[in-house]
Amino acid sequence: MVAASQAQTAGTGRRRSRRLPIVLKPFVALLYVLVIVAVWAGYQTAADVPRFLLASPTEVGWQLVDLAGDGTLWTHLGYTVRNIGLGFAIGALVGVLLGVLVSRSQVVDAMIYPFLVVFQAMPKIALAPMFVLWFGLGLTSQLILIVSLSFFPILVGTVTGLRQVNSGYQDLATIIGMKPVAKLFRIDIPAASPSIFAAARVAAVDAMTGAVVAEWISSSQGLGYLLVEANSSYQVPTLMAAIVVIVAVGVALYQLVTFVETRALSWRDPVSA
Amino acid sequence: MSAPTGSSVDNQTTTAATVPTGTLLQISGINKEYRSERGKVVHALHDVSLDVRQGEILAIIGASGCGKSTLLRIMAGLDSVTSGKTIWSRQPTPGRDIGYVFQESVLLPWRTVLRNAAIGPETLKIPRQQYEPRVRELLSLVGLTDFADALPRELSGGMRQRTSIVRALAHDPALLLMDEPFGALDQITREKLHDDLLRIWTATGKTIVFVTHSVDEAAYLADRVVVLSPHPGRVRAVHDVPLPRPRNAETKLDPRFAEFQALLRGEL
Repeated sequence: MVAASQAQTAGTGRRRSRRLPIVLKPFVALLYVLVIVAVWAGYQTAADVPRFLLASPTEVGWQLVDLAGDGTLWTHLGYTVRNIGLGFAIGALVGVLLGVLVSRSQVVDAMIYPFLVVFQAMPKIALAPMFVLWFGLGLTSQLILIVSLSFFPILVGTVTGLRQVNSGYQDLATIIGMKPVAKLFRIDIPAASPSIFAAARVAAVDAMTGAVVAEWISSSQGLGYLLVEANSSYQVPTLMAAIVVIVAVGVALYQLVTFVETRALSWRDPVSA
Repeated sequence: MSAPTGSSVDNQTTTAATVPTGTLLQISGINKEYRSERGKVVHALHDVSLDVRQGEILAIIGASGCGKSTLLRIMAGLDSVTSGKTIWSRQPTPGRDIGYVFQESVLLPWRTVLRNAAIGPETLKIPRQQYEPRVRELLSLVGLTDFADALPRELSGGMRQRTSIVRALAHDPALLLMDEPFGALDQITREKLHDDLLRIWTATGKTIVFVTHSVDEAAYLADRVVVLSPHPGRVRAVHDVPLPRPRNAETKLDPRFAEFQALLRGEL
């Protein structure tokens, strides 16, 4: 009895030392934010930074409240989030589709590979002005930039994942008479999904970068536009408020993908995950 | 990966009335060559002929590199032959007539034990209410009833291999092929699975062909043992196992059990 309870304590002790209890996680995050804000405010006061260079946390806070109050924030936020969502969805679809084609066909692989090398080496942002030139100052060129940024990690993740699929599954499929298309959807893509999800986390953040940069260049709406507008009219609190919102969107996005991933991949061995 | 040098298995497979009664599958004069990665031609099987009889347990035994797994893969249609014939009493339909147990369990980690085991009938689009009772019955035969909803990562090696055996039997194939199914398991688990397998065989009357490098496994389970010798793989001998059924703990005390193992060891 004593031994059993001791063993149990030892067990929970080991677990606690390895992983933070889930309830404490938000507090740790909050602590981070508080520390950053405190350092920011402290520096602001101590170094006496001019207000047109760095706004104080309270100013930015009130600016956020104002922007939220008159509805400006929600319009811009809604626009950007919608574009991220749409662009990411299209990018993911294109990425998985191309990934499947590359891994299935040596011809497609040979055709696409040189393009991919160039595309990977090129800063995609540099294409933004071209997109504006070709597709105009509108939603189309914004979406194209987002898609071009977010499809790439997903494509690489899909190809990597599909190439690592246990070759024994092919024998299994042959024995049970499973057709190639059925095998793709019922064996290969689920087996590759950990790699696809890892890529999706990167792609989600890339999609956000794309959305903000695109609005910067070719939009009259969205958080990126809010940034540019505030910047050009020297409204530092608005500029910084927009940055805070963009960071929040980025974190939320990353969390969302991680949440979906944890749900979808609950079958994974926690040790190897 | 090795590229087969021969033609596809399909045009080497024949259904003929010439198969003797009671024979499920006749293998005649099979040669298998493949090119290794360095371009060397490897002669894996040389003029291999043997019969698989309806309802028997046949063991194929040999040292590593004797082509025993290749021979089993050829029976399963997973590999082609360079020359020779596999003649079936009744041509097998893919996904229906052959069950295969791989060396490693090859389970899908996102599927539960039940859904892993049921992937065969599911692929054949058999309604769930038809196959599920059968799969559950097979699971209970190997003591996995309580683990039907468990994921593979929650199972021990022995339980995974049991699941894989149930999967191979779920679509009720006439022939069960097993490639060193117990090779990766510890002795205690192996012996339990041997008795599981004999119980399944008694209950279902399947024809079972299995590959092993274990002399006692071959002697304990099989009706007949084919001994292959390596480089290239050839049939060295075919023996009837001189042990009565049912086989159980007493079988292992039978002096003939030890004698027969000694005979096999002498030929390996």
